[in-house]
Amino acid sequence: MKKLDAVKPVPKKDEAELRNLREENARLRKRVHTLEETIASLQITSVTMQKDMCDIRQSQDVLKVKVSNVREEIRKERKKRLTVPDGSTGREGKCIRRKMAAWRKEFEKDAKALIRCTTGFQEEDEHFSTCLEFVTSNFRFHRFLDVDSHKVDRIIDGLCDKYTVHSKADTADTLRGLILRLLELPITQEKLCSKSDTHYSVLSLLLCLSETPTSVDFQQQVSARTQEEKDSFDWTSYLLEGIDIDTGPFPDTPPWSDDDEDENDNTSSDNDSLSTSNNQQVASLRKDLVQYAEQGWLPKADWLKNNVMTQYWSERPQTMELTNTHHTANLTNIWEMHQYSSDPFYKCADRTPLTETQAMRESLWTLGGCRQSFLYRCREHKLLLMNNIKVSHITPDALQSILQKLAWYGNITLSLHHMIDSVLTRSFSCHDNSTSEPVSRTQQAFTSALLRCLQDFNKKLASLERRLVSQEELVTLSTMIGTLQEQFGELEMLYTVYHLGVASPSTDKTNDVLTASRLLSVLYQNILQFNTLGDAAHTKLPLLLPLWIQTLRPYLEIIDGWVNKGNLIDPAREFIIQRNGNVDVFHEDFWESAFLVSNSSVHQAADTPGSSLSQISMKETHQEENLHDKNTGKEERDHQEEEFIPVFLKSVFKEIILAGKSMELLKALGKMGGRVEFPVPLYEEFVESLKVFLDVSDAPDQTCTGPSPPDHVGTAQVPSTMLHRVLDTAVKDSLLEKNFLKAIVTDSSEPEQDGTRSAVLLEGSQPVQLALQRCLYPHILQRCSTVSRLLVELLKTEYQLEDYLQAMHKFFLMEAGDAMHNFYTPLFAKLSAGEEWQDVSVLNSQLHSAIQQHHSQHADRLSVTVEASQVEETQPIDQLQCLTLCYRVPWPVDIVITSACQNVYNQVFQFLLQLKWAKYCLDELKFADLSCPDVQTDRSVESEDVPARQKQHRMHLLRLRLLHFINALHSYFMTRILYTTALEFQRELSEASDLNRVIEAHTAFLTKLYQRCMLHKKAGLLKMAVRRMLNMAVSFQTLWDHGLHNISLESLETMEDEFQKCNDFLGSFFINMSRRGSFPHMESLALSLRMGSA
Amino acid sequence: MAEARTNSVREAMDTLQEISRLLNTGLDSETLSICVRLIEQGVNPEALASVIKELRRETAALKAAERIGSPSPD
Repeated sequence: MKKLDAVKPVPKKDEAELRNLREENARLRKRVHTLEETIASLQITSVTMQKDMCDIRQSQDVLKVKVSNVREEIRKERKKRLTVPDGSTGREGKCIRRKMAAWRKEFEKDAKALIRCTTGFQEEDEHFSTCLEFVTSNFRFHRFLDVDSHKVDRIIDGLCDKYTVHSKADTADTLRGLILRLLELPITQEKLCSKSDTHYSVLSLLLCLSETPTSVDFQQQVSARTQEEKDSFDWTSYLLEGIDIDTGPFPDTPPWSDDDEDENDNTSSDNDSLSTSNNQQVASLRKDLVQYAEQGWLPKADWLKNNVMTQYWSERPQTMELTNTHHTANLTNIWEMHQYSSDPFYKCADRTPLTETQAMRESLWTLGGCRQSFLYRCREHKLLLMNNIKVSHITPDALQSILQKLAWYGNITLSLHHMIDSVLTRSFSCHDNSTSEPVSRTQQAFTSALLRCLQDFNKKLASLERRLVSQEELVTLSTMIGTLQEQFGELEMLYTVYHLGVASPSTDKTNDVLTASRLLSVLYQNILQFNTLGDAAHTKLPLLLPLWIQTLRPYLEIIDGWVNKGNLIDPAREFIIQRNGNVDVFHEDFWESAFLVSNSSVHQAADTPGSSLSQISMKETHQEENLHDKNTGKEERDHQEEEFIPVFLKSVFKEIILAGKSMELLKALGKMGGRVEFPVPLYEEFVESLKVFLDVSDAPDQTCTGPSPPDHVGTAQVPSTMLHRVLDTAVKDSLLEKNFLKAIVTDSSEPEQDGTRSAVLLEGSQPVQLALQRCLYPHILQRCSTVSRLLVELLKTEYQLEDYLQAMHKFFLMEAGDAMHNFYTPLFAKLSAGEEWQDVSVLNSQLHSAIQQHHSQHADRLSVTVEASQVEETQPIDQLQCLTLCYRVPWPVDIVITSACQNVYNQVFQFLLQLKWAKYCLDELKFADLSCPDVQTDRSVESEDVPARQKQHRMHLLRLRLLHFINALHSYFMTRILYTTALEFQRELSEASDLNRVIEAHTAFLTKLYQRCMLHKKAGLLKMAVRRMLNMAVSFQTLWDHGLHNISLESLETMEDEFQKCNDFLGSFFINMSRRGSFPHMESLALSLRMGSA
Repeated sequence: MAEARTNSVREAMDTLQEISRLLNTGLDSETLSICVRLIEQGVNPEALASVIKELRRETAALKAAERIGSPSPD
């Protein structure tokens, strides 16, 4: 209570506050209560939401499973549709397979067309297949999703927003309008639905390919095109023809609104869309011009307008003026309409309208060599027809085909002009710049002749163009081609010659020899070919023959210079023969190696008469291999040379080389002055002879007439010399003769005879080979024979060729028996005595003293040397192998007697020396040296004398037999072989008319000697047997000198056996050979040996 | 009837050409018609667009390389 008393009464002010506090407290409690309720409800809601979430998750899992199942089913379904089982024979399978095959074909065709349009590659290009593979694989295997129409709409909306942002709202509206219109229209002919997947796919494609669309200044054109379709018929002018219509107070005002006209003026392409407006503009312009003309400003405006052609080659749009409304005159438009109506994807190509005359003139300019024109463009030296024109009355395909033909001939003239230009340029640059290689003169000559032919062709083109320009007669493309048909044939022929002779690839492109030779050969072969065609080629032969003759001129001039003056002047190195600078005229190999046939791989002598000698002089072990190699190598060389030699020169090729070499030799000898003169050049002689042969008169028209001659051709004008020539040269046939005689004698004008006469009159009726035989070859052969004969005479008379040959025979073949006997006798004595004999100075002095008496003039040329023996001396007879004679032959005789020849001579000399030694050994044996002791003085040794006597007797017998053999052999070689062979050689030498024959005769002589002296490998067995016999003689002498007591019976028996064997072998061999009849000279030897063995 | 259908299709092609020009795709009429045919045959448009871009790019690179390698005779 105190506490209560202590509590003072609350003032009124505080009661209000308390009341407020209580009220606020109540409010707060209520609020807490509501919050608690809210929390509770929220808790309940969250619980339910959690439950819902769980349910949703469960349903999502279920849906996922369902979706995967459905996808699996779809995939299986698709697989089933695409793959047909292998064993399926049902109709559905076949149908599916057929559809798939057709689809694949169509797909591939479109893919290829896409590649062609996008890249420009053609199917033949190397990249085309790569592109096709790329395209096909990317179309089949990619990771892109199917088109979503909503996505496409979103992109379009975004694009429109972009346009709006870039202040191009009208473009955005245009885009939307176009897209809406597209979606409404059917895009394929099969399905007429709108807003299909195809629509959105196409839109998606365009959106993917678009590049900065906001930067493009777009102007709509669709409305103008629709107008163009209507205006192309031009029915208005046709229907209004002759009818006056009141066009109103403003006739010049164009029918369209200003906006449309502005849009039309602003378009940058599609000339045809402005055709109607241009017509009206031209009409207004014309009126203005007329007005000005009346006012005197442009007095001849009408004339200008009517006579000056519109510049169709400029970029200004042109209109096709229809002068004739007939359907044949308007074929192009009708064809276009047909294409347009049949193919919805057909697009009319942008082509400039031209008249046929303009197209013809363009073609004529191109045929004349113009590289660039409106119709034809040059790309990489090839003319391409620009498919950019149209002619009113010719369909594009027909026009294309006819112009393509002209383009082909244009290509020919372009190639020919290009060749001419390049040769001229190189020629001039060669003159200016001395370091550059000169151009082949043959090619220059061909170029100048070709240029003349093309100038004639250009004249013809110019006359045709004059006809076109004058427009006095009808000329169309086909008539123009018909008119030029003959010239086209000639062009083709010229191009063939150019292609085969100049442009075709050769083994060595820088080899002018092959180029020149091939060009001449190609021309010649073409002439032969056309010559056989007779009248069928009557226009081509007169063109080809002069071309060939002019092209041949440099070649003939080179031959003439070489054969006439000994100078092979060939700055361009185009001649088949080239001078070998390493071999000068004073070298002994000049005749073999100084001139080479120009083939790049092999450097061999142009004429190799001495090549066989080099084989002979080689060691025997390599002889056969080298011979075989030489033969095969020679065949290959001949084949290669054949390729390089011009065809028509093959028959006189060797004579040319012979004359050239002879002339150079004569020039080096200084014997040309006044002896060899051919004042008229070879080319001029050839041309004159040809003219005479072909009987070409001053009136060229006479030779170019056709098969039917004019009436005034009578017998009086028939060149009977020509017919007589035919009779002389043709095959002797009585019927032929009778018929031709009739043609000469009778005056009748029967068509067959006139035809014959005219055929004779025509140029080139004579066979070309005959012309060459009569007109070219004789001159060359005459020069060759003159020069060759002169050279041989000089060598024989002034340079003592025969004397030197005689000297060789005297010393090497021991014809100077006395002198050589004096030389070798002391030598043999030393050999027999076993003394040193190889002192060269002693041998030389011995030799010179031996020849001093009768052959002192050769003393300073003849010497002897001792070479170190390369072959091991197995037998005593081989000691003389190292002895060689040396005869210093002066130039120019050393061309005939070469060092190789001297080697052969030395081999024969060594053999003869061995033979002589063997004979000497046997001749010098004295019976006294072999006498047995006196039997009577000592009877105690009587028993030992019996075998000694027998030995002695046997020795004597053996000696006799050996001597007989050696003598027979000696006699055989010295008389039968050497003498007769030398006689044959003398005869051939006297008959030789040129140096080649001299060398060949000498080579043949030495070859015979070599073979007959059994030095050849083929005679190895024989040689071995003879050597054994010779060696036996030498050994016998040694044995004899040892004395009878030192000779054992065994060695004697061995020697006798060996002798018998060799003798029997040689005897039977020689007998067999002589019986065969192939070596009759062996008969005497065989008989001698037979007698010796008996 | 067929003619009307053809005209409609032609009109659609013209519209497509206009859209292509507006969007600066660089496709000419022939290429566009080929693309439409390919799409009708089932080719994916995005794959087709990527192929065309790739072909254009490679062609430009080849031509640039050729131009560098051999100068033009003109």
